[in-house]
Amino acid sequence: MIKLYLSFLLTALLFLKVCEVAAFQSSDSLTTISFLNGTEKVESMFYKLKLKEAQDTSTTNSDAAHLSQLLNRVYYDFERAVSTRDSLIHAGIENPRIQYYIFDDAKDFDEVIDYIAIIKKNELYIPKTEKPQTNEELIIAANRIPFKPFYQLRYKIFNDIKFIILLGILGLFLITFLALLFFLVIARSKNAKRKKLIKEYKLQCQTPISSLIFEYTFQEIESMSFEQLSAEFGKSNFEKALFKDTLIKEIVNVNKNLKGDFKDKLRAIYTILGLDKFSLLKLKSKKWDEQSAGIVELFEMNIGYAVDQIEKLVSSKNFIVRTNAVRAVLHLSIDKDLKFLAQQQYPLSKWQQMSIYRVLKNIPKSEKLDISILLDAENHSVQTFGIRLVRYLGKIELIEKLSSMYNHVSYLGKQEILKTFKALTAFSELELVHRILMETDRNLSLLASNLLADIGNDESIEFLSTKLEGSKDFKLQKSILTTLYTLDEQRFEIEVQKLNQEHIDLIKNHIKDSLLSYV
Amino acid sequence: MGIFFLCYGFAVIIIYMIITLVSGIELREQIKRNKFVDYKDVITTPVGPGVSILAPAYNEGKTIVQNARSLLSLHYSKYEVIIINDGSKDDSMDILIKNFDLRKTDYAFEQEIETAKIRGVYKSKNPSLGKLIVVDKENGGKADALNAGINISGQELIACIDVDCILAPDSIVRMLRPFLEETNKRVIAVGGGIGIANNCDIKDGTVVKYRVPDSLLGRFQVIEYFRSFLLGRLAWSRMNGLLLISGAFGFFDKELVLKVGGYFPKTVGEDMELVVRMRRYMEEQKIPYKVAFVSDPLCWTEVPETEEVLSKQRNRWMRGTIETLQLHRTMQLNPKYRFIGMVSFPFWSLFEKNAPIIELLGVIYTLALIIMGDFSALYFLSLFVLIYFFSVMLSSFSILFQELTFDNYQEKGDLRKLIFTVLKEPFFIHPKIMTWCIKGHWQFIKGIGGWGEMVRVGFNNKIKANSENNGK
Repeated sequence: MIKLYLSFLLTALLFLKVCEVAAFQSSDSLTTISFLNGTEKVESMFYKLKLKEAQDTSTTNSDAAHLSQLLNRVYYDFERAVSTRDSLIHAGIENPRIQYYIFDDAKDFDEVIDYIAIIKKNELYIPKTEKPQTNEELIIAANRIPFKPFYQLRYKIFNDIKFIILLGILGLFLITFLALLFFLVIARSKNAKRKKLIKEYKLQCQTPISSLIFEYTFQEIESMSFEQLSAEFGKSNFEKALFKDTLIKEIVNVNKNLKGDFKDKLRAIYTILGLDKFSLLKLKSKKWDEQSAGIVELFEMNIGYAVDQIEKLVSSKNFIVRTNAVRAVLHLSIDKDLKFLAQQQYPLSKWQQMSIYRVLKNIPKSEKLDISILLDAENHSVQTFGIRLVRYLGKIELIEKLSSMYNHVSYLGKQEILKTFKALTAFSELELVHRILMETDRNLSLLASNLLADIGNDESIEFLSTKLEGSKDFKLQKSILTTLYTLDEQRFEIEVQKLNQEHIDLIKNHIKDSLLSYV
Repeated sequence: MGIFFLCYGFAVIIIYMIITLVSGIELREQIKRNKFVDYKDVITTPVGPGVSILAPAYNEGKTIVQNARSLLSLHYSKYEVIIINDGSKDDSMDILIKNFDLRKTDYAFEQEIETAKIRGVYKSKNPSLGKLIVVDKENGGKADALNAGINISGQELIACIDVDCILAPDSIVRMLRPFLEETNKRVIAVGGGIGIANNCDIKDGTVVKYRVPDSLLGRFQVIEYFRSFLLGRLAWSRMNGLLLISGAFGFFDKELVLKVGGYFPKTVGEDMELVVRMRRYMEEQKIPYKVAFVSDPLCWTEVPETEEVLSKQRNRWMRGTIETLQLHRTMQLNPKYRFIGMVSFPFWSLFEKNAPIIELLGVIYTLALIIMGDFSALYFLSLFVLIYFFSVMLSSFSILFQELTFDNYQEKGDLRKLIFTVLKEPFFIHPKIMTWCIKGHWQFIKGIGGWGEMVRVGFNNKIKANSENNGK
């Protein structure tokens, strides 16, 4: 019985033992894996990755090399080996597995379980304190993409807006500079070409013009047709604007230097060749310089029938057009009526006055020219010009009118009236001049004093003497003493002595110095 | 700091581009207008004002007779020539007396502007030289000599010139044009274009053959004068903001010059100072006025071709600019002075007076960046190329304007020489000019004044040299 009991007990114990082992084995594969995951290194144990079958996993040499490197690597950290295996699976490599090594021998997982049990008992392992990061997966994925450097110069330039702007401006400058250089060369050659062409045209024009005006009579020229005349210059040339321009300039130039019959001949050539129409066309141009050119040409060639068209331009906004139009109208109109000038709204510049005067002074005295209309103009500048014209053209008959308007004109007008009295030696205006001399305005007194040197009398000497006593202005004193010297030398000496001043003596010496008589 | 330099650089570029555009428009108009002018009308017109030409001379014995003759042969009916011998140490006065048959006169004049003592006023015994007046005075500087001439002058306008300049025969009538044309504003001053006479042929006081100078410095100044006269001054005059009329050739309203007290003798930049003072007066009086500029090269002058003389000139110009801007600093950014105060004055301060300083700071900043390792070679190179091409472009424009207008340099190879000068200038000339200008700043700070000596070869020698070269 005891034997039976003992055998039963042993059998039961054996059964328990077997169950224990089986239970241990089935539940311990997970425990072992879990243990390995939490262990950094197990004594004398390492892992390698193996492929279950030989397969071509890479497409490039670099991939193959990298895989081979991974397969030869020794892992002491189980978790890392698992992670690498998973990466290989993700990368498309089939059936990679982990091979366990204990004391450098390859072992099955069951043997590993047994070994781990012993290791646990003897605590021959290093537990994991920190989970290391791995970037193997990323590296493997990246490895399959051909390498390209990310930070290129192009990237740097095109992602920097300041740099783009800078390069843009630089490019613009470079292009502009090259364009400029190109334009410079073109302009130079174009200029030279144009000059050469004008020179050629001039030569082509000069000979026929000379032969026409010297070898033909006016009647002969007048009877010529366009075909005949143009043949002299080369008919095809009349299709070129530059030739026509050059021809007009040549005709105008010759016209300026010749008189009488020659002028008529040139005018006939000008009109028969239709150059007047070419000039008239210019009046309709929107460019002021072309308009002016047209006016000047018609003016110089004395084309009377163009007056109406030119008159439309006397109130042009452009100063040059206006000036030339006024000149041309005055020159070409038959009645020489200055009414349009008196009605001018724009102030008349000295430049315009100069050019208008040039036309007016060439009008024959036989032709009636009523300047007085300008003296009544509301435009001050036109009125002042009228006063000047009285002086320039020697219109003595208007002295009285000037005198009567003296109090109503501008300050500049007053000065111009006094200058006109001097130029025209207006003896009749002595009383007015005395009055002006005694007024307080220094500039007008100065002009009056100068004027009295020409028109003064004994009464003037007294006025001058009185003014001199009350004046401290050097220029006025000098002017009065000069006038006194002209009118009465003795009185001059007396006045100098009476004043007895150093600077008066200097003025006296100046007046008496023969070299300074006009200074 | 870098942003400041970048903004400054771009401001320079934009402003000069505007100036180029405006001057292009103005030049085109002037050229067109000139086509319709017969200046012969002006010569004898009774409408035109009288002109007193004032030519101060100091040690100009070599050239004074030829230059005086040139001045006496100008084409205009109402003008006088006043040569002021400013206490020359050479024999200028004796040469003048001998050549023009001069006699000391009892000339009485009012000393409206204080000047150094006048030793005598001379007139010629030859009636055909009635236009000539020679003033002999103690040395007082150019401004003082001009003031003496203003006191003696008897015409409405004064033309202040350098006696060594050669004026074109029609220079007076051309300069009178703005005075005669204007109706709404008082024209207070007119500046004229100046050309470079070095290496040119001069006959009877007139330039007959134009050639670019042989030296790089001379050629550089040709380009510089193009830039200055055909671009800068033309544009500023169109905008009525011109602050400088060259002392070598400028016309002024005498009445106004006297009202503002004449030239200021204590500055070396008397030409600019006078214009600024006249403008200031007109602005304060609220009188409509204009300072005009005639672009035609009417005055030809010899420029220095050695670094020594050129450095003195540039140094003096810079000091003159600083002095003027300091004297009238109240105008700076002052709306009371309208365009002058708000635009012209700040432009001169920022881009003329301070440009060399800012350039120097730029260099220092670049070096600092290199040392600190914060230097971008790519940026530096790009900006450098940008500024270089801008400078080249600006100069090329000025050559183009010259080509399209006056076209004086017609000799084969002249254009090529000028283009090469333009390409070389930023590397070989500009740094030197900037250095001389900085020296001017330094001397201003130290209170150093004076003109330095201008060595003149004399046009006669040049003609001789040229004819010898031509002979070969």
